[in-house]
Amino acid sequence: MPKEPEISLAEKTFVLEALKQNLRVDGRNIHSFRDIQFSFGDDYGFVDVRLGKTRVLARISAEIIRPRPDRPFEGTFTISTEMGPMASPSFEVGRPTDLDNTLSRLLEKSIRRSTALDLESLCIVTAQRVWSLRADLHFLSHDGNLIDTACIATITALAHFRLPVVTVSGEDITIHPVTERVPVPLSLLHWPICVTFSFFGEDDDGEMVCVLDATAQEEALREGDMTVTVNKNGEVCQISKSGGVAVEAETLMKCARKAAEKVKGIDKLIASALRGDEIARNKGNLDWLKEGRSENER
Amino acid sequence: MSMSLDSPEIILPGDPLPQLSPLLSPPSTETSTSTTDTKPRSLRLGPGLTLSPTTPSTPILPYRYGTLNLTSHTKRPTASILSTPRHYHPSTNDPVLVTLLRTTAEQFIVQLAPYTPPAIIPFENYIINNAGTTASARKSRPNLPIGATIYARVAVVHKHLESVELSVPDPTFGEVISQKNTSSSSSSNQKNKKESSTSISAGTTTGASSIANRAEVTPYILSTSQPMTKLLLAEETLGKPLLSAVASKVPFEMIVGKNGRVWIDATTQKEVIQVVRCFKEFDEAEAWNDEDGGLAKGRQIVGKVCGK
Repeated sequence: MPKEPEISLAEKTFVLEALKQNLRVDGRNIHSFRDIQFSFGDDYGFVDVRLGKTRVLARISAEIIRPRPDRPFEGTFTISTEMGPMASPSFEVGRPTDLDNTLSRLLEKSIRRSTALDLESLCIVTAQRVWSLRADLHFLSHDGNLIDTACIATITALAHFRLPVVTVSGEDITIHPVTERVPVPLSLLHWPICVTFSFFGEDDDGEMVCVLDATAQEEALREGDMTVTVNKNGEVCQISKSGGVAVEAETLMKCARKAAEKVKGIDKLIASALRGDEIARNKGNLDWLKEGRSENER
Repeated sequence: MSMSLDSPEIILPGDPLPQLSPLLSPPSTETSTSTTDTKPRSLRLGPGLTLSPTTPSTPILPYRYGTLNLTSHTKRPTASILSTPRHYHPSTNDPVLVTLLRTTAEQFIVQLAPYTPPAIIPFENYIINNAGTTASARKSRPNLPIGATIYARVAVVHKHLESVELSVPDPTFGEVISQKNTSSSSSSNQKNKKESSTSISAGTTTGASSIANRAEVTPYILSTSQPMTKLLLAEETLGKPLLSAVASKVPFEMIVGKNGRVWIDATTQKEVIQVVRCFKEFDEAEAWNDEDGGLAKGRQIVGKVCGK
């Protein structure tokens, strides 16, 4: 397996020394994210998120399946993450790295188990037919902070996705094509967003250096990391810290507050990106949009 | 007479090179200028060209894309393929900055570029002082930590093997950081020799020695793309717009390795970061491609990063 490139001692000492003075090599503040850019595809549920040089592409697809017998009212939702050498030469297909496992578990915990998506709303006919949603994440480029980027991409794609309208009459199920009935957005209960902190040991004042949105270089040098998942209401969905340097409870609280503050900003960015896409999509066709509103009489 | 120095034609690997045939059979091409030559002039093949015995009609074949660089006016005509590939291809005599991976009984194993097989510096090629002592003896061997940066020269490139042998031909090469910490007047002199760009960067405002005398600020090693490396190496021509723009704001020193590694030092950490950001943003904007050689872009970036 190709190894991660060796980081020279000079880079290492420089990055660590600079961080103690609250300086980062790319000129950012230690608590600031890189610019987040969204671009949406022609289809619903297709989004390409860039965070600096990190780039993740998310795509939601849906199919109709028979529900699991023990959960007859619920649809299913799976997140598939696979890292290939396109993101970084050190990733190999079919040989998951630690990051791979952490990432899929974290997304599972953050999005699925925090019940961001109302699975019961995916039910078409109880115990007969339900929607099965699938989020495919493709990692196109890796420059650190894949977890946060993947989470933002998944949430944005879910919020962007539209399910075709299904009508049930007796035994018959009709799936209406997009041209016939305006497809409906998913019922997302909240938008959990991951914020990963990287720890670099204590600075001269004895305070832990916590860095947000670490680059690949910083990730390779960090002493520990912690991912906090929060929604815009400040509700913590999960905190995950597996190994690494020990962190005081006080620092953890600070991080959680910082995360909540950051998530509010990211939430707004996602919302405005989605709004921008909707306007671009319905340009010159606003009457059609009005007609499709659910509050209209049918 | 130079034949096609500025021929814009792109040559692809395997293309026949009829331009080279006259140089290969000296008697038929003897021009009026060199009729007195009795010895057949041999053509020297530079990077990107190889002899192909299996194709007698075109005995020299390119194995890289690029433009043909032919100098036939000198005593020994040389031909090579000029190109700027994305990856570093080692060729003999290139100055490089490498990272130490491990030390074995006979050599230093170093990394030339990420995701490539490691290169080696045999101890007998590692010259420590001006008396020509090598690192072969255990006593004289520098005790380098893993991850140390060594300024070396490409000694041997095996055409058919992947291994690359480097050398430290004299004490101006060698480990980069420790020289800084033992900053005597001689070491700063070495630096001046090494970094010719020091003259334009630090020469005007701060002397190079004053930078070298501080131990508390650590230098940084930046990875650059191949075109950017080329630009930084040609500090008097290609790189002048950017380098002088940066140097007018921040005095700094640098060592450029052809493998796309640039050692950068300045008076404070903040200044090192400013220089690094200027170079990085210039590189990421691919401003070396600009028509004005990156002059406008360079000024804009420097203004943004370092303030007006």
